[in-house]
This record gives sequence, structure tokens and C-alpha cells, in this order.
Amino acid sequence: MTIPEAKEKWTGRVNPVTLGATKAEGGTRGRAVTIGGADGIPFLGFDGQTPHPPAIALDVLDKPPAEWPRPLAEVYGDVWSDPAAWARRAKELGADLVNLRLVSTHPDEDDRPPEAAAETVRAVLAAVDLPLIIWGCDVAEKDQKVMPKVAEVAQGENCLLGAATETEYRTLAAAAQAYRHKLITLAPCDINKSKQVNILVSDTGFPLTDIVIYPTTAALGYGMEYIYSILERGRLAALSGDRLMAQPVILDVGYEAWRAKEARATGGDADAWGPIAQRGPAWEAVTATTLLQGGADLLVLRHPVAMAAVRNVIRQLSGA
Amino acid sequence: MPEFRVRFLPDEQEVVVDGSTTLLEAARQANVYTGGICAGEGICGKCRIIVRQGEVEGESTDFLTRDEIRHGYVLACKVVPKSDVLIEVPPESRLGGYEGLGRDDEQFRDFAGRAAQPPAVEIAPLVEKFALQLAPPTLDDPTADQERVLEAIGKRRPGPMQMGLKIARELPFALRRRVVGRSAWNWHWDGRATATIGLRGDLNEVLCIEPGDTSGRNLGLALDLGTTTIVAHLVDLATGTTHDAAAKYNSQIKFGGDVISRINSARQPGGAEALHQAVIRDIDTLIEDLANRAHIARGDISCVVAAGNTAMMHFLLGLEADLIRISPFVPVATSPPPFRAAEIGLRINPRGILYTLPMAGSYVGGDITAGVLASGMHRSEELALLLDIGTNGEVVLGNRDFLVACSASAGPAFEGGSISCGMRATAGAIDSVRIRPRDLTISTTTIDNCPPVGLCGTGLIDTIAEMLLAGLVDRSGQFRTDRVTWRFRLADYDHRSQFILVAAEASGRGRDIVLTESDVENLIRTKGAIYAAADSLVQSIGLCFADVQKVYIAGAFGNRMDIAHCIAIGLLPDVPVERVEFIGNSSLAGAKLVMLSRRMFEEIHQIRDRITYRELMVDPNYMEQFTSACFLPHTDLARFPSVARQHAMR
Repeated sequence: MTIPEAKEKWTGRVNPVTLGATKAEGGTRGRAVTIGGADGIPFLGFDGQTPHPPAIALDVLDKPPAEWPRPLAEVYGDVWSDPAAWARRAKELGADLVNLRLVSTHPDEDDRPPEAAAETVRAVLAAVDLPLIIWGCDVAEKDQKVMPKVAEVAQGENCLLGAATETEYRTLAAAAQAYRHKLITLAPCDINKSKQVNILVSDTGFPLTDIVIYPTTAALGYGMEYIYSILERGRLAALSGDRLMAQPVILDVGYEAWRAKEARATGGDADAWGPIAQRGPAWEAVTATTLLQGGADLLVLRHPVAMAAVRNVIRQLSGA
Repeated sequence: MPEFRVRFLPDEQEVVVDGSTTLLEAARQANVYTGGICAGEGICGKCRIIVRQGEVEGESTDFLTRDEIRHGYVLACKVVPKSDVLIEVPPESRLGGYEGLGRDDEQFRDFAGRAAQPPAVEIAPLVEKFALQLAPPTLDDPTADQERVLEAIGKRRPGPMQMGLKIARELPFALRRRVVGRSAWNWHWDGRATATIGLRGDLNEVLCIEPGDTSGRNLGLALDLGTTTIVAHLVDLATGTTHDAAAKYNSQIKFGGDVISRINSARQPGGAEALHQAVIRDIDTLIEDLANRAHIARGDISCVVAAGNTAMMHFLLGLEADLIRISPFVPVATSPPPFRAAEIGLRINPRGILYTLPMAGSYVGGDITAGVLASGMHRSEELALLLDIGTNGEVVLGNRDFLVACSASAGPAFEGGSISCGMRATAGAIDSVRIRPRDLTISTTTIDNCPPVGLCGTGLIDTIAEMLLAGLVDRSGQFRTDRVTWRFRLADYDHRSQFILVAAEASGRGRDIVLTESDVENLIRTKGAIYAAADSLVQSIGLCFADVQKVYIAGAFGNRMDIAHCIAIGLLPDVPVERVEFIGNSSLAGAKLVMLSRRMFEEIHQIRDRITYRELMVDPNYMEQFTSACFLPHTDLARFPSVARQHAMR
């Protein structure tokens, strides 16, 4: 009996997007990282090729985090008052990229001015030669002042800037285009909205091929299946030739996984859930490896143990 | 509880209410219209009134600017009197719109439409009059009066026939003159009489027998009972020509702008009866007007054929409407039998018959079966789509082999509701807008060339389409305020950005005529709902819009609607313009066809039986289609190739 051919014939592929620029490309990064490019379902080697395995960025904040639990403090506590030193730690731990969050610019945090944020970016760029992902503080009015400044000082470094939304996209898209960066478009868990933001951004003249999609993220036990199905539908659309969904996907796994009670809680019932040192990394790794099956190209993580576990899964599933 | 006098200007109506009665309720009691489409739920912000004297108390609202509040504006549904008060109803809240704009029926010229031509159908009315010339009975031919009459009628209108006792009692007097002689009555045979025959179920019923020949005076009233507007045509049943037309706003508006609000109102004590009486009074007013103008007696009107959505029909007939609102959405009746119009208080010929057009379901009413009949799509080989664009958007897809229908709650944006400067298509409404992309100059036209006072549906579609083409809104409907012109007024903390279409100096209302970003959002949701309904319906049978050979647009838009603009904003699918046809008030057209042709009466019942209703509320695909359609023109521009070309050229 012959076994029927199960291979799908896809007409589309995920756009390859390169982040970071080396000297030869006009920047100062040690190497650039390319994500995306797949023309088949994740980890189905017979179905299509995944030329660039999912990349991993580690989180760096521009001020000491108030609520990071002990397992993370043990890894970063000694460096987290200095973003440059923190970024170096991320590189030592083996991150492909640094994910820099300018949380201190938030009006309710320290309300630091755009110049201070630019200084932080400059310092991080000087400290490590990894490509950078840079997020504002998620307050549109403030980000509109901060991000153009940040984009300017990082000119030529081909960073990934986040995040353009349905209502706030012009300033960021203009800044990214003017200083030759890539752009994250954000639409929470909705394919149509995601396409709409991409259309709006591309209507400003920003190329669709320089966009990375952020569909938001949900951790294991906190609605992960919603994001999973959105990822899967988006990826199938991309492979079927939908140009508006052909962008690679970034997921903020670390942030979501470490918000989970199971990753943080100590004392009481929580002690029966296992040692706190393992729970958080496990929650992060399970969330990440699950969502990778749906189709994700860039993962933002926090704990090195989780990162190692995710790398291991990618390696094994890729048959490498 | 203390009572206060509430006096309304400019109507000079006064009412006494207690301190817990909202001014909206007070206005209702005083029979003063104060705007508003949500029946006092505080969500439409349209019942704006001005407190001139006295004190009121109530909740704050986001619908009024600080400036307006300073000038005494309040929402009638949100405040109660604290003393005797003098209230002015500002022009934008008055029923007739703006002063000096003429009477209702003038405003409704286009609505009413005076298609005097008889429809292309063989005339065989539901109710007919026959002039009879009967030979006198003799000893050789002693046939009884009743049999004599029935036999004569049967030759003209075959089929089973019935005559009630009441008519039989009148028979000898209709056929003879009775003269009082010296010692006894003398009967003089005349034999000339007129019989009025109406269809009731499978029987022809003799409705009346009158002496003489009155067959030239047989009139019918075709009614379109719209949620917003009631239109009546007076039709000569012998020739099929339309004598005259009249229209008026549906007085039920004061109980809510959409049928769901009205059904909720009907649940109040006495509410159902009030709704029923309101529509009966409206019809009576129209009959009065038409009869006066045509110099006819009410008794000359021998039938009424009424089309309307299912809820309106329930209100008309005094049927319980509440079940329409709640799952599984079951109406009391979808095919009420013909009965005497007098039974519900309609004053026409006392034995005249009221026919209601059959409904396909709770949300696909007799107006839609009438639309299908009028369009003829049920007879054609061509695949056609019928879109009835109103507060409820109904869609029918099909041809002679099948008919499927669905309905979507679209919202009142195209009728002026939920739009800050929205109004109905009456005098002074901006009905077309052009923006020159080069220098952004704007030109507008208004209905009857009156100074502009607001935007009606076509003006709204034009404005957004032109703003889109001129690059003044992005495809999500946000204003491009970065393209600085004096026309944008930026959002402050409690209001959304505004686009000034007509400045106060040039407007007929003394205020800027603006479009806000929320208006655009409302329009996008409305058009998205209609497009998505059509899209889901077409997809549900495995087809796409390219397969649709004809698109019929029913509704009050008329031919003023710019098809290219409707496509540019994604209200209509991107089909070749020549496939789109406006059929105007097809509800009324269908009612007239039925009135004039018993074959059509049968046909509309067949249409009703053939329509398969698809409930979108349980269709998981619909929500997806809807989100996708809430963009200009659509998230998937590939569905709008002609618009894509335009965008590319920009």
C-alpha cells in the first residue's frame, strides 16, 4: 500500500527580516540576525524550509524592576541598575538580541525625558554588539516624543522598534523609516486588526517587508490557546500568500510567563507546586515552546534556564 | 410629590408633571417631539432641549459640550423638573427639522414618489367592483336575489363565493326602489347595482352591494410602514394608476428610534396600546390628507395593503411583539389572514379589507418579501442580491431556484441617527459632497437648495468617501490631522476630533456642521454590518460577489446615492456599476403589485415560503467578516480592485 503524499503545497512564505547592521552594513553590530523566511509549517521539515530558526532576545529594562521575583533577581540583580551592564549579561548568557524596554520614560514611573532614553540606548549599543529591539513605555503621547529621539541615536543600527498600533502609528513609522529601522505592529489577538495596522503603516509608505507582527502573548493557563490559534491562522494565511500576514512574529513570552501566579507565588499552597527556582523557568519554557508550534520567529524571554530549554527544543525539532 | 408646569416652545404646549418625571416623558405627554432615538436610555444624545426658565436636575452627560451646558442645553431623558420650567426645543431636535421648510408631505416628495404609471402587471385587484345589470325576476325566472347576484358576479370572477347575512339583508333594497304607496309598499325593480368583491382566504366575499354604478370609484391604499417613515399611495384599483401619495414620520419614534427600543417601550403598562394607536393615528392622518386632496370619501377606499417589518406589523395589528426580541425570535404571526380594516380602527369603507404582506421571519418582514416581488429576482435566472439599507439591514440573495435572506442590525447612521450633525433626507440636508484633492476645497449641495443644516445618508457617504480619496482620513477612519487645514478641530479631553464641513456662517443652523471621528466610527460599523451580512450570505452558499449579476438597492436613498462612493467606502461590493440598480421604496412597490394582482398575492406567499432565513447571530463567520469589513473600504483590498487602483493612483 502506498502512503498518500501529505505534503502541503504552499504558495507563500514568511518574509525574512534582518535585524541589526554590521560595520559592512553601516552599523556597529557584531552580527545581524535574520528571522522569518519559512515556507512551510513550523518544524515540519518535509513540508517546507525554515531557513532561520526562531531567535531569542533577553529582556533588559532601563531601571531596576520592582516586581521581578527571586529567580530572576538571582540572575540579574547585580546588574539591573545599569542597562549597559544588564545588556552585557544578556549577551554572556547567550541571547541573540537584546530587548530594551524604556519603562522609566513612563509618566507614572520616572517620566524621564527623551534625551535620557536616547542616552540609555546609546550606552546599550556601545556595551554590546547584539541587535536591539527597543520598546517605549506604552503611553502614546510620551512614546511619540521618545521614540523619534531613540530612532535617531540608533540610526544605521537597524533596530526593531515597538510598537505601532491602530491609533498610534504615524510617528513611529515615520521615525523607523527616516532612520532605517524595522517596525513592530501590534494588534491584540485579532487577525483582521493586525492586517489593518499593517495596511495603515504601509499606507504611510513604510514597507510591509520591514514589519514584525506582535499579536500580544498569553501565558500557559492564561489564555495561551487564544494566541496559539491566532498564530496558527496567521501563519497559514502567510503560507497561503497573504502579504498582510507574511510578516514574522515576535512574542513577549518572558513578561507574560513571569506574571503568572504559578511562576511567582511562594508560601501556602504554592510550596506544593514545586521549588520556586524551577517553576518560573518551566512556565516560561512551556509557554514558549508551545507557541513556537503555532508559528513564532522571535521570542523575548527572561530566564537563562528557559532560554536553554527552548533552544534545546528548537534544535531537536529541527533535526539539527 | 410636588407638581410642576412644563411649557414647551415653540409648540406652546404645556403639561403638569411631578418632580420624578423626566422632561422626555413630559414632552411625550404634551405630544411634543424632542428628538432622540433610544427611547430615553440616554445612549443616543439626540433629545437635546434648552432650559429657558426654571430649574432642572439630572445626571451629567458626555453628549453636551461645556459651552452647550452653559447655554442651558440638557438631554430631555436625563433631567427632571425642580420648579416650573420653560423649555425650548431647538431646531435640530424638532420633528419637522427646521422652521420654514414646509409641510411634511413636501419634505417627503422623494420618499413618497409619485409613480403614477400602473405597474406592468395584468390588473386583477384583490378587491374589485362590478357594475351589475340584472334582469328582473319573473314568474318564469323566479331566481332569488342572492343567487341572481352571485351568478352574475361568478361570470366576472369565477370561484367559490360567499355573502354574509348583512349583505343579504340589504339586497332587496339595493336592487329595487321601495316606494310607499297609499295602502302598501311598492317595489320597483332597478337591477343596476355595484358589487364589491374581495379575496378572503380561498373565497371571494361580497363585501357590499350598492345601488347604481359606483364601479368608477374603487380605491386602494398601499402602505409602507417603515420604522422611521410611513408612506401611503392612493391607487385606482380599476386602472392601476396611482392618484396621489403622502408620507409622514412614524409617530412611534417617540417610543424609540429602532424596533427593539419600541418593543421595550411596549412592555411598559399601556405601552403596547400606545404604540398601536400611534400607528393607527398616523395612517388615519394620511388617509384624511389623501381623501381631501382627491375629493373622495373614505368609503371609496375598499382595501388597504400594508407592508412593513415584522415588528411594525405586530404593532399595527396589536399583536404581542416581545417574542421578536428574545431568542428564538418567534413572531406571533407571519401571514395574518385578511380581515376588516375597521377591526383595528382604520376608517375606510366599513367592510373594506386589510391585507398584510407575508413575513419570512422576525427580522425579514413583509417589506422584504415585497422587495423581492418588486425586483422580480425570484423569477430571473440571474443571481441577484437585494440590499434593503435601513436601521436594520436586510439582504436577500437568490434567483428563480432559491432565495436566502439574513438581517443585520446596522444602526441608524444612514438615517441621521448616531451622527452628530446627522438628519433625515429632508430640506436642508447636505446630500452630496465633493472635495478637491489639490486644495481641499469643499462643495456641497443640499436638498431643495436650502442652507445646509445637517448631513443625510448620501451626504455622509459622500463626505467620508471624498475625505478618504483626498487623504483626510486614513483607512481606519481616523482623521489625518497632520494634514493641517483649518477644517480640523483637534480632540480635547472630552471630545473627539472634528472635521468642519460647513462653517457656522454658511450653515442654516448657526453652528458648524461637523463630522467627528466617532461619527466615522459609527458609519464604518453600519456599513461594515451591511457588507458583512451580504458577504456572509453569499459565502454561505459557496459563491462570491463576482457571481452576483445584479445588485438591487432598496431604501430611501433614491438615485442620489453615488454608487462609486458606496463602493469606495465598502458599503457595496466592488461590482461593475451597471449591475447596481436602485429600486427605491420596493416595499411600497410590492404592496401595490399585490393590491392590483391576485396572481402577485399568490406569488408573494410563494416567495415567503421559498425564503430560507439565515440567523447571523449564530454564524461564527459573521463576526469575523464584520471586523474585516470595519475598515475603508475593507481589510482585504483585493476584494475592491477598483478602489485599490484609485488608492494606487493617489
